[in-house]
Amino acid sequence: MADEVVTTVIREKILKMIKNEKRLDNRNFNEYRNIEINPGIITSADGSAHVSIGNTSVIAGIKIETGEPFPDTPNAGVMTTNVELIPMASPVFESGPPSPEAVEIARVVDRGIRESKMINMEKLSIVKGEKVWIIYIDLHVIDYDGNLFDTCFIASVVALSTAKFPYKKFNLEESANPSVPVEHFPIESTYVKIGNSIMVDPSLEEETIADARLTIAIDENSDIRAMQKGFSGVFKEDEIYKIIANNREINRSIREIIKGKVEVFR
Amino acid sequence: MEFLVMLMSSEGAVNIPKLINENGLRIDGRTTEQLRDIKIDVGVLKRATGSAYIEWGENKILAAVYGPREAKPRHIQNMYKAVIQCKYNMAPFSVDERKRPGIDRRSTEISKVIAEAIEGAVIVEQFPRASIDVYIEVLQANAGTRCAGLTAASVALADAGIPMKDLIAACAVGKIDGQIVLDLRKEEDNFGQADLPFAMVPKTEDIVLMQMDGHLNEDEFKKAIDLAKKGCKRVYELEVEALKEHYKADMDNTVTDKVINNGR
Amino acid sequence: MKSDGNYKTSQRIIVVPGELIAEGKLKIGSGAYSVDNRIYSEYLGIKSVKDNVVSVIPLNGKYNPKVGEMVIGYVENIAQSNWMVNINSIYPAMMLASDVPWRVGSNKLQNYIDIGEAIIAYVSEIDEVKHIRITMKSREFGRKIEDGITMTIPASKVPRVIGKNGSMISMIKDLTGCRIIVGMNGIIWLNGEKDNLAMAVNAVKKIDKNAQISGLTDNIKNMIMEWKNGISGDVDE
Repeated sequence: MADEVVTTVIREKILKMIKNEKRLDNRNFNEYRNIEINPGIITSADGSAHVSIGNTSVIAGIKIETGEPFPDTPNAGVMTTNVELIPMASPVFESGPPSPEAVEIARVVDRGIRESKMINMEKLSIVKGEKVWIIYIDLHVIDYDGNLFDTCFIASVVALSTAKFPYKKFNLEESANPSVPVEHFPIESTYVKIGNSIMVDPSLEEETIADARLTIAIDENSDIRAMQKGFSGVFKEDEIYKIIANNREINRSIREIIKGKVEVFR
Repeated sequence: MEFLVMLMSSEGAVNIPKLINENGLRIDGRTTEQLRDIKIDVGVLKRATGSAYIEWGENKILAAVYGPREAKPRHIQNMYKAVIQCKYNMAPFSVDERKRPGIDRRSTEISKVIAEAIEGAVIVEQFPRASIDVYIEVLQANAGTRCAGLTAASVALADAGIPMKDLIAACAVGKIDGQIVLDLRKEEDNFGQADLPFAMVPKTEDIVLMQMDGHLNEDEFKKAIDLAKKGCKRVYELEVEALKEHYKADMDNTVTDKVINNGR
Repeated sequence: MKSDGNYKTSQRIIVVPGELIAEGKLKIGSGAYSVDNRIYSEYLGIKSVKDNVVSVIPLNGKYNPKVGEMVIGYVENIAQSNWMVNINSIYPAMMLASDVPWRVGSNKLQNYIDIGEAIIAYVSEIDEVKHIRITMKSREFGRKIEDGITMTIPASKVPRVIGKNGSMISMIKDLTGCRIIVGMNGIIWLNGEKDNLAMAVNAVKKIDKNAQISGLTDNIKNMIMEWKNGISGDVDE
């Protein structure tokens, strides 16, 4: 992956505005860009969503197959998450095997979903020890303008929440409730640190000049379920506490937006 | 999909279904000379130089164009013209059985023939050493994705401000139940006797893409080409309409937004 | 500023690549090609007929540099003895260590202009395979940009932003009090007080979107005046 270039005048402008707790697009530090959520747009998938945060745009597709469980978890289903940073999305993305960036995003999204127990994996078992549902989460990034972690995460959560098991396709008896067993509703939020300022939902320019990045996944009780620190800059302990404290309020509103969309669709 | 499931009888044997009924209508109610519904949106992506989204029946496809930009790696540069590089890709969730991500032989071939078709219309001589990169992402597939993808790419190229002798219009023809029909859908492709993806430059009627598999005699072939040309002309009208509508609407918008940097 | 109604009647014919734009007497201008006395558009653009010449102004596209033109660009890469500068063209432009107004000597080039820094320069040379050279030397505007903001519009719209004999750009400068430099490559530098700067940026965007309508200068002037009159209380920045 080549590097994005932020011109010095824009960098200066960002740094200047940050001093007044403002951002280049006039947001506050605790403010997300506009979030758009469209569930169910891909009918060839078992669950899907098109999610945009600002100009960043991701399509999530869920495919569900049957297969054997892993030997160490004979009664649990399988879930894998895959992110494709396709060259359509940015002049700096290249085709080929997944870049370290794509792998990191996929793993952090996967961790937030898995560790929050969003999906009850035991309920994915079909024949104990022999046959389970395998859930593939495929994330297609189509426009990259910063903060892929959160865009991919929301897209995954919405797509999973609206996914249905393809009983017919695998000659299985239909269930009264064919929905994938979603039991929790995690939210993942990403912050960047520029100088000494910390802001949520970084734009491309902010992400490019940021010193450090922190992603946190929390559940409905605001308990922390997954974290990932990124970039070469550092955080102080109290900075992390401050982020966690702030994060509760920010995430509450986002959770409501997402839940609303999902419920309407269901 | 339900249609296919219906065909599989309980014994597992596949019956060849009837694809054209006694009224001459196809399984989705179209006549033999009718295209599926087509909807084209222009300028749907921010980062790309030009872009388009097409819904063609149940196909949903995005096309993005980057460039012209300096061709890299350097050894692919041509001193006299731009090179066209195309990547056709199917999303893992675009088909019934999850497709493993990455390049396969089918997408490599399709990318090649689409790039060659595009080179037939773009005025590549204006850009020595440059490349024009075309990305086609199939989000949902139901037969005819290369034609729909090429159509979207053509619109995205115009949107990118790339000079062309003309737009390119594409559509497939085929043979089902012994008849030549326009624009096969998946079941028709699976159980039909021939499939012929086709693209042309509408003004000159120059053929820029043509592939075929199946079985056609010479008369049928001529009839197929004739029908494909008709289909392409209709696709061309839709392309022009989409481009003009988008830019008309774009110009009518009042600029009220605040300082936004474009200084990347 | 909400309504655009008065623009809608003016003539702006959008054409697509390959569309027939003239037959017979008209001469062929830029953005068009001819076959058998018929003239067709090469671009998605606006048809323009002036002095019997028919041409197409592309709605999008990269800058096609010409020797002597002033451009604004930013450094994308630095090599041993030259900078590679993004000038919104297909090809990055090269600027040699000898093309800057300082004596570089054996110092590192990034000490003078670093990656991401913007400059104002002139196109000095283009060869047949489009290797572009630019220089900051011996011209009044050749300098490094230290403040303000830059924005990008399609280079094809630059003549409208400047206006006849500079009428449009002078008007915007006068009314907003901003300093503005328009690179021929579509990158524009602006600086001024916050609200005025926002207004100048909006004016340029509006010209970009409405490039081919008549009476644009008056329209933009009205827009700025309206804004200035309404500014007394509430500008929601």
